[in-house]
Amino acid sequence: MTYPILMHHLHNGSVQSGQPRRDSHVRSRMRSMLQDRNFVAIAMSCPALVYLALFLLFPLILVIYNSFYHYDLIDPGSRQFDGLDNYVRAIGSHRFWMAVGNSLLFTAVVVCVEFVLGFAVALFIDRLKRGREIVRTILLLPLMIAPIIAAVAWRYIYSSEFGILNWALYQIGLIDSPSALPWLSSPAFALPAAMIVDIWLTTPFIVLILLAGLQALPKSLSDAAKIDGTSLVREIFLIKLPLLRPVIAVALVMRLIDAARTFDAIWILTGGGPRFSSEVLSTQIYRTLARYADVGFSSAIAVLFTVGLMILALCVYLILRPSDAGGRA
Amino acid sequence: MMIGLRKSRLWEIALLGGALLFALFYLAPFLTIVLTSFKPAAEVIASPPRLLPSHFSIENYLHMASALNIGRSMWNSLVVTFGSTAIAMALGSMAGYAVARSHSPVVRSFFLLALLARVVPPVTLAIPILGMIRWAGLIDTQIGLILVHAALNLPFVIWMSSGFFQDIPADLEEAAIVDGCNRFTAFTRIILPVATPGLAATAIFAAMLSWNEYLFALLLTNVEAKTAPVAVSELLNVYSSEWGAMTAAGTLFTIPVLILAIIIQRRIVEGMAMGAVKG
Repeated sequence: MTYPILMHHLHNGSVQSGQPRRDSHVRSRMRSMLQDRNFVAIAMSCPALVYLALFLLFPLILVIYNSFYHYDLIDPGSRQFDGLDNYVRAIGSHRFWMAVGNSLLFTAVVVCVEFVLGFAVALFIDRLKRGREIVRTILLLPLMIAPIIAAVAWRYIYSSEFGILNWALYQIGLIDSPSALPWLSSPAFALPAAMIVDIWLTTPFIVLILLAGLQALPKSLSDAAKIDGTSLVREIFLIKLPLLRPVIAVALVMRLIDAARTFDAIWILTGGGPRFSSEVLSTQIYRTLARYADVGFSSAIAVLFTVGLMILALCVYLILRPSDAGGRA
Repeated sequence: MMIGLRKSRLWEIALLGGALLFALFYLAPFLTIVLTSFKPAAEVIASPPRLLPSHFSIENYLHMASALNIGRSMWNSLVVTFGSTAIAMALGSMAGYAVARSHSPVVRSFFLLALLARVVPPVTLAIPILGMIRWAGLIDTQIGLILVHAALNLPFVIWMSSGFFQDIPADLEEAAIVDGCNRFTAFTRIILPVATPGLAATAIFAAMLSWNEYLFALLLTNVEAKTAPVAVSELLNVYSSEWGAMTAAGTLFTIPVLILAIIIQRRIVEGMAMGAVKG
């Protein structure tokens, strides 16, 4: 990158070779600063940096700071240093571990199902000769719709009185009565019901990413496999899957993070209930903050959650990431 | 030969059929809301449920607009969306340009910030931000939510726009500088116009994220500045949910999103990967 430096010198040179007037000194200095790539870049990033420092970094510091205090949202005067008390309370609480378990279960199931389903659908669409664009467009819809609207629709579908799902299952004869499967009001089904909605909502993300990956693979590859008489299954698992590994690693880690952070859909569908059976960490933190106004305790859970998620995401990425020693063809 | 040909055609038809079935499964929840919204109020909660309305009715829409005053929250949503997108685009496109063109450590710190924004759960940020907005006296104001939505979208806008700026050859602004621009006017006069299509896609994305955002809207607004997602979610009630009004509001709320989504189809996955803030 000698180019910008060259330009810089050229401009400085031209400024100095001009008529040396005293009052234009500041001006020319100013002008040469405006020619300097890094100066301008830093000046242009400053507003965004300040904004992010205020609304991203400062809140992150504040949440850690608050987690060491007892602090009631309604009465800021109640702030009182508590040391690690909030953390001790969280770690000793049954509800917290239940939420951790649900979050892990939700994330694991959702990401695994979405990957298997998404990969299958992507392979399927990749083989389509016609209609690919239509299917692609339809798959984009769930990615764009507000999760809360999707959740409202699903809540309506799940209803045991007027929901279409149970009536359909009843008509086929899979259940004895439309109210036999209380999706959202029984502790056994609430979390799986939320998982189904999340799978519906975000499998297209995996499908579209993997589809883009599949279509980027050289066509000669599957031709060669065909000539060699490689079976379809072997072609998929021994050739395509390993080649897509970098794409898969990134897509799965992103989905993992987003699935763990899910709030909207679960909050609308079940509100974490019944009896906390579908409570995940996001809903627990929200409830502790909004219902109980307990800033300190919710901050402590949030810190544990955030750090845990970062570690988990990093570990999963390191595992899934292709090793440098010949993962790439 | 003939059999082989016919077999491959059958196979293709089966594949297409399967794909359409899958697509239909994907459309079903949308169709449910749209069809339900046009049912007469009594049919919305009929048991057994009807798939199609017996006759076309806008009862639910009238109820939603008059009794439940959803129009006002739609207006709030619109104001917040435009306000926050404007701020995020103004700050984000400048920073995105800097990221595309400079390697200075100050500019590189955006990598770390964007990574943080991608990983930190929104609910974690929500706790201190609620306190900050309360402290500033901006609870239940459009401005409060605009400031927060702009911040949520900023890392994303920086990232996506920097990609578009990278695609523009640096020779273009060097030529502009030779012609008498400084680096900043080269950006505003030469680079911005060239980058407009990409920036428009970025803005649409930011607008959709703000329009759909629920968690912060729920925490930071309650009456005056309540946005549509919050208003719709309030219609859910354990005892008597306003299903008719909810499906009507849901349909109206989703139409603009779908129109925008079709405009930026090709970039949606890219955008999602870059960290659309989804709760």
